[in-house]
Amino acid sequence: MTDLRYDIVFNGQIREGFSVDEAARALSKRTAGSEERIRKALTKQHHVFKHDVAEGDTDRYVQQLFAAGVIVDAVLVTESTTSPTDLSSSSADGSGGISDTKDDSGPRDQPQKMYFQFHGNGAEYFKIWIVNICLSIVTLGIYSAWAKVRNKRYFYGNTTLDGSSFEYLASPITILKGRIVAIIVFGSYAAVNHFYPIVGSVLALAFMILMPWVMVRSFAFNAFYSAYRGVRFRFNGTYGGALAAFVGYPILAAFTLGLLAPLAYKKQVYFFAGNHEFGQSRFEVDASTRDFFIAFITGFCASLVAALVAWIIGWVIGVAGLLAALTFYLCTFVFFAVLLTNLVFNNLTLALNQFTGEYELKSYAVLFITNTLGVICTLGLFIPFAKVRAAKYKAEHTGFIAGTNMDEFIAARQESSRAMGEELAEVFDWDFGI
Amino acid sequence: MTLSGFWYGEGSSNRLAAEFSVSADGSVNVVDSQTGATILATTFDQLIISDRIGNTPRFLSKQDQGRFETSDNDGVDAILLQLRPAQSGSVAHILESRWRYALLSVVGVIAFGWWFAVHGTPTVANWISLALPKHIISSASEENLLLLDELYFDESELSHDVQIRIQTHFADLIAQHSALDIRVMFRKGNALGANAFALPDGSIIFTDEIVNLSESDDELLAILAHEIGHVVERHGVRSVVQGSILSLATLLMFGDAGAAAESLLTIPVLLTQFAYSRDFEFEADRYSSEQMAINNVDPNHFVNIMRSLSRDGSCIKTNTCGDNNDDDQDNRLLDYLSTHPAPEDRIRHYQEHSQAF
Repeated sequence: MTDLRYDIVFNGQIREGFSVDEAARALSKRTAGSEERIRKALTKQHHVFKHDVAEGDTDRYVQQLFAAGVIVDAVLVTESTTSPTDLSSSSADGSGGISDTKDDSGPRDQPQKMYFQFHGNGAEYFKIWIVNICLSIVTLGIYSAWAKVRNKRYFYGNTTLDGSSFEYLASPITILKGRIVAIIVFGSYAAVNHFYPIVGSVLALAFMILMPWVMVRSFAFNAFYSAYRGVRFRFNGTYGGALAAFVGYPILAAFTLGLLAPLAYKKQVYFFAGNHEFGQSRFEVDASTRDFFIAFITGFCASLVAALVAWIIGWVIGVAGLLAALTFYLCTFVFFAVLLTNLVFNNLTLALNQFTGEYELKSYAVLFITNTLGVICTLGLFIPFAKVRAAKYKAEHTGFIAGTNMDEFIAARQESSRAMGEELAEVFDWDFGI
Repeated sequence: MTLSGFWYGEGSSNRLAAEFSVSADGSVNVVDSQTGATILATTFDQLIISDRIGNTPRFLSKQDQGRFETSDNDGVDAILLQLRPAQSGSVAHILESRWRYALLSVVGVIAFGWWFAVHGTPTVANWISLALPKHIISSASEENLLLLDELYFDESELSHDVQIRIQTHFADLIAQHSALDIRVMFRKGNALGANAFALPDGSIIFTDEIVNLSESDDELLAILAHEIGHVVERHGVRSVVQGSILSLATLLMFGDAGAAAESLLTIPVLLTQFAYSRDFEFEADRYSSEQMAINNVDPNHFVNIMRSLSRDGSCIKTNTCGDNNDDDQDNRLLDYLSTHPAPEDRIRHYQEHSQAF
């Protein structure tokens, strides 16, 4: 059973209420592929979207395409004892379920699309935020560990999927210990770096070697103390994997003057997302290197064009350089955030469940600009509002197509995790995550 | 008392709509809303109840059995008030949920931030700079000089005679500071242009360019006195320590503000560091003017070399450009963006101070 392979085949069927153009647009957004190419494929009567797919993955393709309005069949290709079967009965037919040939235990009858939701409120969070900063100051920083937990719990608790909220379970004491270690390490590193720059550069090398370990610890800590429906997340990445993804490939990218940056980014996403588990179910990313290159090149070129336009407009009013630089910064930030988030989420699965990334350029740009201006104009007092708005945007633009019954994730056996990595990572201001 | 919510049994993501009820004596029952079957029967003191944060759902969990999630925050608080007064009315939540405490905190944080930047950081940095062992300071200075030599400087092209002449002219002032181990060196400044640097261990470097720019050795003496001022006041070490304290404190307080906000936070930190740097320059200028008065040298020499520096192109690098031709308004703004005060300000302060003697 395990070596059955399928082709994902399109036979010219578009779902009722969808047009070829719409479907092509939706698919190109999901896959970051060329809309033109997809539209061409959809006008054919026969097209194989994907060759040689493992049995476990067919549902995902069928569902994803179905969501975009395209009806496909999973057709058995590998020679086996049974003659090749057309699984069209299990394909989406626009009205019924799509995986009804599967046994009842795993996949659910009908994939159900839902969105993450964020219920927080800017004014409410402002009070929590400022009071916690004030308490941290009054206690000479000791309360900052409690403040961190409360802030994190505010965002986890207000994020729901299918009516259940997320939980952050780390204890402030663990975080406080980690924080003390981190400050000592950071402080001595900074001191050595300032007073002995040459020794400092050797230390920097040592830190580069140590950093992947810190990251793995940090991801593992954070995953272990995050839960949904009483089931914890886990992170299983290894030191070697982190060394390759966060030191090896970035160095390679630097040596190629950034040409291989998309590859390095891909490796990081694969390492981070692909090593996460929810209970005993694995997260998996399946996006091609080509897609990452396309996203990077599109983002870069679009920003360049925008900057050029801004330069020409600015040249008329006499502020060409400034306007062009600002536009470029803004555009790269927005384009990369939108394209890459969508690319990753649209190719991210958890068992038979599919995530979707639905960031939009315009609305995300508006969010980014207003948040930035808000923070600047209020000298930082807008930060809590900006964080709430960003969390709301992120939740509402991330979809989840439940292909399995949400009740059937099995928790992993318990193991503990340490805070040190997490806090080191925090003090050094490494911000990862998707 | 009853609460409605979800029950999650230990070991899987299975979710049941459930009712939680607790009686006055503390016996707890969780029942399946649909079937009415009992899921959990226990006592209240066995439960771990999460703290209230805003309006986020609460979790009432029993070790190894499962957890009950409910959005009924007020219901949970009412139960706590009756059965576990110690955990009810969490101080943190009271502080976090009232505008008066939030506004008080805003005032407190701003006041503290101001005090911390203006008084706290400089004071602590001063203590630390005094406590630092001498050998650390000297080896740090040596390494920094090595680095500067590597990155910017070339060997001085000044003739031996000129160097000797200037050293002789400096001898008296250096002798007056014998405790500081002042050593004057010359280097070709290249990109750094007409400039002078003081390292914390007492090494003072004059670039060939500033020597050539000066019209008399007394002008150089005024600069030397300024640089000695930096050494006396330990400005080098203090500014490094101040910068570290400021960044670390900002990181701790606003650390999880999110990536975009964090990059914006570097702006006030940088502006504050510029302000510290300008204060140090004024302090060193003041020291210079005192030394000139003690040694009966005309303070106008300092004024002259400042004017020459601001006419010289290299002033762009050292942020000592004059505001002779520019719009005054622009310069006020630019003042906040530079490590050195505007030369006209420095000259004015210098002259005012000299007259006081």
